[in-house]
Amino acid sequence: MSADPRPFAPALDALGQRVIDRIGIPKDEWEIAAQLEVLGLRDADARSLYGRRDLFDLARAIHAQFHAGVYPFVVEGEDPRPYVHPAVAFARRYAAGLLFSAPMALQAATMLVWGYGIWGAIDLDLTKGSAIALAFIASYIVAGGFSQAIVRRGLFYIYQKEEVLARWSALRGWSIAMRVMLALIVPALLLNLLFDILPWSMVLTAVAYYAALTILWLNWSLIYLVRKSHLFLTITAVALAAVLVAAKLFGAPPLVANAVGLGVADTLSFAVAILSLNAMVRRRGAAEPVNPPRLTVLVYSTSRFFVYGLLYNAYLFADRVIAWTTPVGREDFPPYAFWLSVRYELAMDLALVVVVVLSGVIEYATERFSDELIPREKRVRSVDTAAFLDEQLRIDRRRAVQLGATAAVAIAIAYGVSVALRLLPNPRLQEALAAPTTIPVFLCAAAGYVFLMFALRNILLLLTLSRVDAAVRCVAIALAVNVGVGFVCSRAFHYAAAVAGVLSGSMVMAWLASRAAKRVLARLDYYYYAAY
Amino acid sequence: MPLSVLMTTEGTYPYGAGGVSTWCDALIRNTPDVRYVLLPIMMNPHIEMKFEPLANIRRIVNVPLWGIEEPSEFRSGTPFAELYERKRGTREDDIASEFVPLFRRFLGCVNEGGADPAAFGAVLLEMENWFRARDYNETMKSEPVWDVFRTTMEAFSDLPTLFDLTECLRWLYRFLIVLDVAPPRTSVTHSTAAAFCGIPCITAKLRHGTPMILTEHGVYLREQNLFLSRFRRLFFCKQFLLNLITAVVRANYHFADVVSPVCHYNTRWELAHGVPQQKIRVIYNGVDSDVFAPAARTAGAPLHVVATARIDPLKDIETFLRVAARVRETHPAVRFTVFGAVADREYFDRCLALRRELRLDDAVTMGAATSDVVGAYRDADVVLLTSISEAFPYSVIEAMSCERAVVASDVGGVSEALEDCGILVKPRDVDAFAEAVIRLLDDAALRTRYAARARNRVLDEFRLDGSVHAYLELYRELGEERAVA
Repeated sequence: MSADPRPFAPALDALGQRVIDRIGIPKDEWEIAAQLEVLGLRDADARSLYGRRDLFDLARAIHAQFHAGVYPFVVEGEDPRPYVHPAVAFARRYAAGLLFSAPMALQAATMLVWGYGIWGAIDLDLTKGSAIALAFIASYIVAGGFSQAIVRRGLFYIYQKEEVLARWSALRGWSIAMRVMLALIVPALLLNLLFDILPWSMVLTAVAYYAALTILWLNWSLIYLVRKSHLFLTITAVALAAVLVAAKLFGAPPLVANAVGLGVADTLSFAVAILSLNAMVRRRGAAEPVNPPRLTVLVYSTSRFFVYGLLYNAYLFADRVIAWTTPVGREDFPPYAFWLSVRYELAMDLALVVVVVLSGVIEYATERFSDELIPREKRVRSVDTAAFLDEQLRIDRRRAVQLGATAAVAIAIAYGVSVALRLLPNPRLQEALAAPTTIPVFLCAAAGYVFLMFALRNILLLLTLSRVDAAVRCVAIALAVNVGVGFVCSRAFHYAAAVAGVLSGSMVMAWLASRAAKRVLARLDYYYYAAY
Repeated sequence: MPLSVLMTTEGTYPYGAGGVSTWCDALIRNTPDVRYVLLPIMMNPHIEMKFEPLANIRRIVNVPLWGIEEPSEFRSGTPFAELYERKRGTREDDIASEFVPLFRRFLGCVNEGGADPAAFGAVLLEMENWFRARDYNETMKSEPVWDVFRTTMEAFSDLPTLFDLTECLRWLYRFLIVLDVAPPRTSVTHSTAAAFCGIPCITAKLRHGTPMILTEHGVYLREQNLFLSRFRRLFFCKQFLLNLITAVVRANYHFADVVSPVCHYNTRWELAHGVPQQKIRVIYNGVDSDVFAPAARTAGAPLHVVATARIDPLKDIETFLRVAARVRETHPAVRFTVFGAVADREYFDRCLALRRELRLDDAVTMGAATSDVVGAYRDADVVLLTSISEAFPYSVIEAMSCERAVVASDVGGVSEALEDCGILVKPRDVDAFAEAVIRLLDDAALRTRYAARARNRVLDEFRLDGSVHAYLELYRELGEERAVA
């Protein structure tokens, strides 16, 4: 039995207000009772100070008073986010997107100005150039899957504040990749031994570049994992400097200069990666992982990302492999089964300007989607989900229109670059640009890359929401189309018609990815829940 | 047949330090004839054991909730091929037709705060059966599960935002991972908290009729209420989680054959939530009085006031600091030490700031645990506990066993431990604490009298062998009852 409550009313009001100030809206009297206990009150105090039987009775009284509106309370809104002008936000994201292209742009510049890149030199003969091209493509495809797996799993652990495991899984992925990369050399050599596909000098050159470049891409992924991507440019600059010093100061032949450059890039990138991973682990204060996951499970859980990386990188270079393995329509009569076409490569590189220009836009759109999703979900009541989903689809359409408009500008810029290059006093470059295949391939590839960037925009959305299966499906089908169309066209009409594969594959990928993304956006409420 | 016990823990033994872990270790160590299967629910799987595995622990079934992408990552004993097949065999149509109705019933029980614990237990068992044949991740991340969650919660309340629902279902995904383990059958189950770790004991009881013991060290429901009170901006999430926790707690209470809190104080919450009085058997914690044995302080050493408490708001270290400041106004040579790890970094920073403000940097040491707890007590003239919330703290009975004078806040079961063998003070009352400490520091004879009484009380009431014997008797009684049945 409670005592006559009247003499205790002021004390009860003050206590109730104190509790509500601490907890906001109480869920029930039990929540209030727990608070009363930690305020140091006991059943004896409930009786002597508030005239209630015990703390539970006191809590019930406060709860009843709360519902009677006795206690004013405030529920704070979200902390205000610092305002960033959209133009500034865009510039930042765009610059971040460009940063990934910067090493490639720097290499292109040094190639044009001084005739050297880290891999390759303008004066290399076509035999060596073909070997390096083969090595580049092989390394990119082999490293692609592992890079995705390393980054995906590593970031998962970093988000979980398990930096020790992040390092463990990344280095484990790296070492498995190294073994696979080396193991693949054996069948390649055997194949060449059996079928005499390429001369051994070419094969050995390719193998050396392949190994060095694969290591570089894998190190890149470690550096990306530790969020030091800005160092890509620094490492590239140092390696390029090493190449130039070797070639220009010491007169080293191009292959030796490249070897120096790749050695510097590999060593430096690995050192940066290891030092950064170790620093990350030191901050956590532990050295060895405790109870890491089973290898089979680790492989299984990263396998979809591995497949995605493998297929995507294969997609990017499938047309080159197709184009450079047929003699149909080639003016330079290729002596071997794989023979680089400088004209074709130049056209594709020019078209790459479209990718560079658009990648910043896509980076911005993806980041903005991620940044705004949670605040939007916090504002939208569940019963208003349908309107929220409609709005998402509307935003998506707006972003697509923006990308389309930017794409037109990107193609114009790329064409402008091709015109500017003709002004350079380099006869080989001018000859290549004037060749009848170059501009049609460039235009076709540029259009293809526009579609690819549309596809990529949606694929990044799918990956952001952990729908990697859908992303894999898009890329796999597009790759099949790319290879099929490219192969038929290059064999039936002209080697350079392999670019039709890029255009058709990218169109298919854009369509599939758009369909998949729309499906996801139409149920974003569910897909966001499941994306963790 | 030797007795076998499934002991389930949550965030404690064998991966965490603290009172519950100490209790588990002592119980298992001192019942060598009992075979234990341990089922620890842990925050993540990448933590090291704080206790050496004992010989009578036959198996440990770890249940990590976070730090994994999906539960199958750490499911030991199941071949990968089987896990893969299970994943492939979990189809959305089956989820919609078979699991969704279960899940809807489950949510109904949660939204009612476990008002019908028997129904809640039954649905937990059915869900566990589902997960024994189907993949947990594929099920819980499926569209039908999200849809039924959303529609059920919308029908329950028009408040939730999409973010609320997303967060709540993600939490539920983690908490229900405990349904995805299949611990072996034992003679008895023993849950060390009325929490999610009690769920395997509940389903074992429903599946096999295995008797269940529930020991409450703290009061889980109260602790979770305190924790979730921080969710000021997320009322719906707080409401959902407290309903879920209340349902789980009530199911624990309902299915336990014996509820054995470590002090009478805890029974207040248990009785209020429907535990019948006859089900409750208080078993006090015990200490090894040979280990926590008295020893004289070094002669001439400055007076020293010690607390053994982690740095946590519930331990009210701020009051400890204010008491230190007050005591040093008249006794400037007295040293103060808090032995205990930092549990709450933000709170520790606040304490450091207060220490600086009170000019106590040279007088008060804190921020680190000690490996020599006995030494810490022996180096004390007065042991001070300023907690605002306790159950039956080891720090008090250990200090008593070491024959030290204790000043403690009158919270939880502290008064049951201390009775008249120390000084009880109202929590947060700095003046009263300071006065009690000064009284003891000034009067060595009084300290000695309190300390001697405290040691005798431990020898009479709180010996480790007595506590262990009580649990062993319980195991035998319930285990044999079951054998007879």
